[in-house]
Order: sequence, then structure tokens, then C-alpha cells
Amino acid sequence: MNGVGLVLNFETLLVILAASLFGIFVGAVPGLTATMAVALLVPLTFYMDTIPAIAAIVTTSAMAIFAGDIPGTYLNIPGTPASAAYVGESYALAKKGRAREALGINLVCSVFGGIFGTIVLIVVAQSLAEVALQFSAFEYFWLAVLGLSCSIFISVGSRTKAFLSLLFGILLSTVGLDMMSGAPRFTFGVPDLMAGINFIPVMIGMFALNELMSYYASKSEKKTISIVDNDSVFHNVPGHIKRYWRNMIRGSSIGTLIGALPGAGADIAAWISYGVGKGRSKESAKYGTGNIEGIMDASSANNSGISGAWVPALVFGIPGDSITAIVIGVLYMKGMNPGPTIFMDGSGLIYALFMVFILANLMMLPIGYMAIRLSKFFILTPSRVLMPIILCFCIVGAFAINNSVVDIWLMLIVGLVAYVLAVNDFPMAPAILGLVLGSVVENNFMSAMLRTGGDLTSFFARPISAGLGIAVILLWCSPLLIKAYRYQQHKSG
Amino acid sequence: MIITNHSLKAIFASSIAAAVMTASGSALADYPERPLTLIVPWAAGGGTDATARTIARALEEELGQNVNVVNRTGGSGVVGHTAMINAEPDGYTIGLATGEVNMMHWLGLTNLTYEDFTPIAQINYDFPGIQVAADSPYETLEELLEAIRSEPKGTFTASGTGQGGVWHLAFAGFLMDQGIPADQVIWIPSEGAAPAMTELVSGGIDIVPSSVPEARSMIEAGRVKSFAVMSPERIPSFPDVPTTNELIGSSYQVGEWRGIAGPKGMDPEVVATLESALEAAYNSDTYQGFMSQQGFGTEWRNAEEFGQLMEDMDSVFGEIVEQVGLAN
Amino acid sequence: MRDFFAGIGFVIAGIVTIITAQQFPTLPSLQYGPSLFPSLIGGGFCLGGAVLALNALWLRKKAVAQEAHGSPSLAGSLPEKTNWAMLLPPISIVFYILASDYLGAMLTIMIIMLLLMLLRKTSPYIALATSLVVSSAIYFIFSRYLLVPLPQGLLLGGSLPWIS
Repeated sequence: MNGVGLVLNFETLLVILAASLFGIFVGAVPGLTATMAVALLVPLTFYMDTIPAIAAIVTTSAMAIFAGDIPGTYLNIPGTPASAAYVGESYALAKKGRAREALGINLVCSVFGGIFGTIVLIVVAQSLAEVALQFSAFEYFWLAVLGLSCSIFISVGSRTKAFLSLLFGILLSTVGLDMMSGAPRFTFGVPDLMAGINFIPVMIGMFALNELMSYYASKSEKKTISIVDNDSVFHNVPGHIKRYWRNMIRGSSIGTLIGALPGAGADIAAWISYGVGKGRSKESAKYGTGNIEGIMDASSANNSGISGAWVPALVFGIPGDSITAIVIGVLYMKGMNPGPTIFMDGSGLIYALFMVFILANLMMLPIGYMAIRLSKFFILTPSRVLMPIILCFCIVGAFAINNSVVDIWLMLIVGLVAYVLAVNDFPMAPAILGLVLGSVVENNFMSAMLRTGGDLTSFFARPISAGLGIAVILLWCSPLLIKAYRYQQHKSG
Repeated sequence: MIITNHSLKAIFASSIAAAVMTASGSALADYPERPLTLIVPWAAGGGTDATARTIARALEEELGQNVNVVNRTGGSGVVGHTAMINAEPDGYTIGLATGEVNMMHWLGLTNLTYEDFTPIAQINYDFPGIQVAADSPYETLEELLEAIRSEPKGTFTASGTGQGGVWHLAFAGFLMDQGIPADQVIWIPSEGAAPAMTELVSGGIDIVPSSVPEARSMIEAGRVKSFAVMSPERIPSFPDVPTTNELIGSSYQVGEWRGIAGPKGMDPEVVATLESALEAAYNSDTYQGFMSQQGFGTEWRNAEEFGQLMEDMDSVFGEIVEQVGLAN
Repeated sequence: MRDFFAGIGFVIAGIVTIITAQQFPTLPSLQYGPSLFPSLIGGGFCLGGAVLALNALWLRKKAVAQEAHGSPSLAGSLPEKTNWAMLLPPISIVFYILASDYLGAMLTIMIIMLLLMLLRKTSPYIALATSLVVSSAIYFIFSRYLLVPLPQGLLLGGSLPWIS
């Protein structure tokens, strides 16, 4: 167990602490995002030793993803595509004066999900990775379609509008060089658009810029959210856990499993588990109006998905999501080549890594608690001071992901379109998922068709693929089936 | 009027020239007097990025100035390379140009060619290998090639880059070199070697002609075997993988070069300063140690030879793109 | 009624998308290629937009019919007056894009923050102090520690102390 010594030294612990604060800060500032936090860390990790470097990234990503829910809850500006699944829920709770309660349960579920995923990683990483290797283009296609479908079925209000919003996101995902043909699409001669549209400026435009414009459109300085004295971070947590512990386990399992698939990741995981949660809940009508249950499912899945993504990354050196893609590069740079040898080379590095995971997740409790307490800053600061600051972070945040002015333009244009749509009651969350998953759906579909010479039945030819396909079709038919069932009941009753 | 106008212009022009001279003169004397920016056209965390950051660190020691690596990714390299040629040719913004410079314009993605760059030095060369799944029915390269030759067109699929990416073109060129039509094997575009590896293992495709280091973890996991590498000599970190020359006597060697280049019109003295600093950085333990540990190929070419390589490879890739039917 | 126009807007966007997509090349071995998905999305826009527009028309008809029977409805209510102040954030962003190369990121975001705060009647001292502190903090953290190449600006021309 020489892994212990690698972690429990002053430098590593200091790095973990610093990374926690950095992650919390970046996550909590509207306009800055978790992926950006990790991307900005890469050049810095270059100057660190292996274990502190990995610890910095693991801690930052876990913290930033949780902290992204803080501006989500207080300002309706989510930090990641995954948290866009339940931002409506936590914002609704905040309006009822239960912001801290929502964040408290979110924090506990995040920690639980993260540790759950880590334990799975420690115990069954290798066999889970075997399962992940069974997935090919056919399966990823269905999985992404399932995620997209969930975004419509969990939406509140008009489904037509949710559908159109989703399509808007998918359309954005087609911009850039088409991977299959190498042909540029909708690039209008701008070289930067060849790279496609990054979800970060779009998310900032859709949510943050949208909120900023709404603020300046109204003349009122009044806050929709106020501090309520009896709103405690942890007071109601035991009760909720007792009542909804199944949701946490279910969310974490779905999250770890989907996170472990290299083509999927935490985003799909959060949406699907939120959808599953709503489908299985006894109070599914309450979803979208500020229901703690939905938050528990999705935020457990979100963080366990992050841990799950490490399964293929460590076992086969294949990134499970955008963050592990960066981490694999850092691992290589540090001479710690991911692959089966990492589990048996005897250097203890892998145990050190596991310890870092557990430590990072445990650190989340105190530091997250502190952040939740401090987040009343969002309420105490007058909007007229807060909003211009957020605007400047949005500009810098959009620029920093690619160091490109084009991304600032993109944030602006998407923000304007989103404002018009939002004023007309179109939900924005499906658009973000559409942008993230649109190319997954398209590329896997095209890749499968190219391989089979255009044979559509091949989507049902492999067992897992067929199973997922049937699940999607059942989901689409479910409104009809439910109606038919009720009709039957009505007739007989 | 005309004369005055003319003389005014002359005075104006000469004063500008003088200003430029003094500016460049002082820049030359102290170059570099502020940090440099190194543009990388590929994502942070990838192999090219790691190479760039390592050479940047070695270069910092030589120049005594910070070298900041900036990633400008996407569009098969179009974005980053465009940013490189549009930078001021003052020597403070340079880039890590990659072999895509020789492909993008043939594919009709951009107008920029190697002529828009000032070559400074080549620092790396990676050659494609031929990888198949460990449970593939073929045991040797010869068997595989024979099967590709005899089975009907489209029986085999390969992947590893996007359409018209380096491993696609290099593999197509290899097939043609062996007298096999390039479209005998269907190319399934992917976002890179890593997703192609999972497809290879899950049975979705048959061949991944990426560089051997890109397949390292799968080879170590016993899931993938590498038949051969199309390089002049065996790669030191994979001594068991033979070269195509040893196996089938093929001297076809087309790979991915990486080198430092700047925008067109850089001052020759600045280029010379950078070139000698790069040579020292290239030979440093930092760089050589990292590259050999990764299994990445090192190859040095000075400014002139590097320019020649770009020119030579341009026609090679032009021909392959034409043959594969991707020319635009 | 706004839904009606939104629906029509989507139908038009759908048609434009489909027409643009027809110019994309096809893949050598398949009948369809990069134009397939954009065309499907365009089709979806048309379909969804039409449903939205027709639904709005139908609701309005119902409302008008109800009104004819003497029951009050919202169909005739005036839309809220547009407040052009909502364009302040977009204008600030455009200002940043245009001015930051010359003024530098730090000065530009300071000006944006200061003006936006004053516009909403923040006390000048607070506005000045906040924008000064926050803009230097953003610039310092991002440029110095996170190595983001924020524009320094020609005006200050590399004279900022911590970026040497």
C-alpha cells in the first residue's frame, strides 16, 4: 500500500485543497463552467508531479460540477449540460425559499454518487469495461436517442415547443465539418465555425445572457428569491434520504453505467435518470414545480457518471467524456500510461488514484457546505451590481474555452435567439442536450449505415442494440399506451 | 500638385520604412524580449498538444522567455493553422504545424497551403501502423493483404481519423502502393484513434491504421495486435513490431510530420534565432526523454529542409487525395 | 397569437434549412450523406411549427367564439410594451468585441461594468470601486494564472506589470 504515502503528503493535500477552492469558485461563477475549469488546469498540471496533477483535475471537476448547481439554483443559470436537466426543479424550490435545502440534498447526493461510482470503479472496473466494449455505433445511436427522448418527455408545458427547442440544439450540432464526409456545413466561410459549435458559449448565451436580458428588460430591482431563516442546508437531508434512498441508488447505478460507456457520459446519465425517476415516481405530476425527488435522481447520476467515465479511461485508455479525455492526455504526459498495466504495475499509483477520488468526494461536504453558506452573496448583492459582473464573466468564460472571439459572437447570437424563444415559453434545456448529443446520434447513425451499406434492420441485429431500440420505441408510444390503458379501465370501471 | 503629392507619398513611404527598420532593428537586437505564443491546432491533452508543451518548455530554457501554448482546435486543423498564418510575422506568434497543411487544401477545406508558412524546424515524424483486433482471423500482414485483395470490395472496414485525415490518406496510399484500389476497404470516419480502437475491439470495424503508440493501451491489454509499422526502422518503444519493408519489401512511408512554423514573411534573423534555439531544445533531455517514453518518433529538419519536406509531401498527398476521389 | 408567429417562424427556418442542406455533397457509397440530418431537422421544424401555428389559430378561434357569447378572454389583450433596455447586455458584448483589441480586456470590461452599474443608479463610488477591483481581478487571474490570452490592448501596449 505505498499508494497511501503518495497521497498523504503535504504537497498533494495542499493541491487538493487549492483545487477544491478553484473548482468551487469556477463552478459557482455564472458564465464559467466545469469543463473550462479542467481545460484551464492542463497547462498548470504540466508543472506538477503525477499524483498532485491527477488530484487537481479530479478534485476540480467534482467540485465544479457540484458548484455549477449553485448559480443554477439561485439565478436559473446551470453550470453543465447535465445540471440543465434539473435546474428548473432547483430554481423552483429556491423561489419557494428552499434554496439551501435543495443545494444541501444536491450536495449529499453528489457526494454519494461520486463515492458510489468510485467504489464501482475499484471493485468491478475491469468487468464493467468489458461490458462497455460491447457497445458499438448501433448501441450508442439508440442510447443518445433515448437521452434526447427523455428531454422531451420530462419537459414541463408544451411538448411541441420542447421538440422544436431540441431540434434547434441538434441543428446547432450540425454546424462545422461533417465528420463522415469531411464537408463543411453551415460555416458561412468562417474558419472558426469549421470546428463546430462548442456547448459552453451556447450554454452561457442560452441561460446566462437570457437572464441578464430579462433583468434589464424589467425595471424592477426586486429579487425573486429571498433568504428564509429556517432554510437549512442539512436539516431536512436525513428525512429526504430516508424517503428517497432508492432514488439515490438508482440514480447512481444509472450514472455509473452510462458514464462508463465511452460514447455517452454524465450528460445522458443525468437526463435519463431524471426521466426514469419521473416515470417511476408516485408524484410525477409534481416534477418541474420544485420537487426534491428529481434532484436526488439526477444529481446522484451526474456525479457517479463522472466516476464511471474513469472505467474505460483507466482500463483501456479510452476517454469516457470530455474531462477524462483531457485527463488521459495528462496521464500520458506524466508517463502513467492508462491500460491494464496501470492496475498491476505495483507502483501503487492506482491505489493513490482511488484514494484521491474518495478524498476529493469527501472534501466536497465541508467545502460545498461553505460554498452554499457563502452563496447568499447572490441574494445580498444588489442586482444592479451583480448583473454587470456576471456579464463580464460570461464574456471571458465564452472566450476562454477556445481563445476565440468567434465564441463570444456565438454566445451573443444564440443568446438573442434563446431570449426570443424563452419569452415565448420555449424550454431551453432540451436545446442544450440536443447540441451535446446531436452529433453523437448523427455520427453513429451514419457510421452504422456506412458499414452495413444502408441496412436499417442492422439497428436491431445485435442484442443490446435491439433492447435499447425497443426501449426507445416503447417510450415514444407510452402516451398512447397509457391513454389506451386508461380508456380500458374507464370502460370496464 | 502631382509632384507634391508624389513627394509627400515618397516622404511618407520612406518614413514608414524607417519606422519599420528601427522597429525591426530593435526587435532583432533583443529578440525575444517578451513571451512567445505557440499555437497548437489540436486539443489539449492529445499527443500533438503534449509534444507542443514539451518542446515549449525546452524552448523556454533556450530563449529565456515564456512560451505559452494556446490550443485552437477543430475543423480537422483548419482553425489552428488559419490562426497561425494570420498572426503578425514578428516571431512572437508561432505554431506547431502538422501534416494536415498538406491535405486540407486538396480536400477543399481551406485555401491555405504550405506556402503561407515560414518553416522553422521539423521536430517529429509519426508513421502509421496496421492494427487489427486480437481475435482477428488473420495472423500476419500478408494474410490480411491477401484477404483484402481476394474478398469483394467493401468487405473490410478501417477507421482512425475523419474523412481525408492523415491515417485515412496514408492507409489509402499504402493500399495503392500494394496495387489494391483505395476503395477496396471502406473508410469509416471517426473522431480519432481512441474511438476507433473501441470499434475495433467491439467488432465494428476490421483495421485501424493509426500510429502504434496510439494503440499502446489496447495492445498491452491484449485486445489489439499490431502487424507492422510503415517506417524506415522499427520504433524503439515497440521493438516487436516489424516494418512493412521487412515483411513485404514495401518502401512506402507516408506519415504525419509536426514542425514549428510561423506566418509568411518572418525576418530571416528571427527565424535563425528560433531555429538554433529549437535545435538545442530538440536535443534536450526534456524533449528526447518525453518522446522516447511516449514512443513518438523524433526527426529533425532545419528550416530549409523542413520547407522542402512540406513541398514534397504536398504533391504526395495531392496524388493520394485525387486517387481516393476526395479532391475538391 | 405569439405562438402563431413563432410557428410560422419555425416553418420558414425549416424551409431555409432544407434548401441550404441540398447543397451538401453526398457520401460515395450511400444515397444520402451530410444533408440527411439537416433535412430531417428542417422537416421537423416545419412539422412542429405548423402544429404550433394551427394550435394557436384554433385556440384563438375558440376564444373569439367565447367572446361572442359574452365571456371575457385574453385574446384581445395588448402585448406588453417592449423595453429596449434588454438590449444593454448584447450591446455591451458587441462593444467588448470591437473595443478590446484596442483598449485591452481589462479596461473594456471595467468600462462596461461601470456604465451598466451607473445606468441602474448604483452609487458612483460603489460602481467605480467594484468595477475597478473586479476587472483587475478577472484580468489578473485569467491572464496570469490560467494563461488565457485575453487581449492586452494596443493602448496599454504591454505596459501591464504582471504580464512580462
